[in-house]
Amino acid sequence: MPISEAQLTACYQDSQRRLYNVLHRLLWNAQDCQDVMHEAFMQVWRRREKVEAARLEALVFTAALNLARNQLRWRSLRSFAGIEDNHCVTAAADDESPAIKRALGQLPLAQRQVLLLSEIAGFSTREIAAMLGIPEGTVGSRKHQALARMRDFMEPSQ
Amino acid sequence: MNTSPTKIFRELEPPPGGQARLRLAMASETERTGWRQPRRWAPAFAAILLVTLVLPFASRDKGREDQAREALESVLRSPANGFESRTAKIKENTTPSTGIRLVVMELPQDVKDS
Repeated sequence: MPISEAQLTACYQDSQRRLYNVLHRLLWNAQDCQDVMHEAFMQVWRRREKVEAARLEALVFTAALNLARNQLRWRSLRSFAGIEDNHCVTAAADDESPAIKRALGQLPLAQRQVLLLSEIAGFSTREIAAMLGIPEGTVGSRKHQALARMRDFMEPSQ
Repeated sequence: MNTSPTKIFRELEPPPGGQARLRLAMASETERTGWRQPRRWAPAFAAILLVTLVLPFASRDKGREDQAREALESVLRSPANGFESRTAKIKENTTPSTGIRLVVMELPQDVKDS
């Protein structure tokens, strides 16, 4: 049974804060985060005939993470090509502290995604594994490595 | 550092207006998809229409051609002094030339229209 507009809107209300917080730690730009969120929900909406309501949130997160990865690839390509990028990193008043930004910045993307999905979005290891298409054991090890690197990086500044 | 990163991540507030933007986009998408469905079937409908319109004419022409061929063959099989046909009407016209006989073979009306 296809999902309804009300179901997707309810999903948006429930998950927008967590999704935004995850995306912000990947993209560091409020406008980009909003655009990615919007496009992720729209991608799910366009495939609504095939989407199960039970997997709605997971699909939105998967779509958003794919879009965020593409966005990051484009940024690095533009930066490599020497093209001036308008997607500057924001420094809003409610932004993350510089120490956390640096600590997250030194994590490989694969570890950062797992850490954010687990620690900010609150997904279980199984849910993250399904979302990223990787084994549960890999999720566990990536999370462990990410936490260890975060601690190591932040320890001197504490 | 023994604290979990969860405790050190600040909870940020998403910018307002996202939900309204999504609602608008969904409504617009639904509207467009509503039109897209029949358009997707347009080539199939066009093909069916073409087949429906063209096939009867094509088969009718073939039937008429067969009738004409049969009439001509029956004429050609006729004896030299008189032409006969089971399906066509034969009219012989006079010509000023002596060595030439002008024969008009006319298919019956129902054969023409069939």
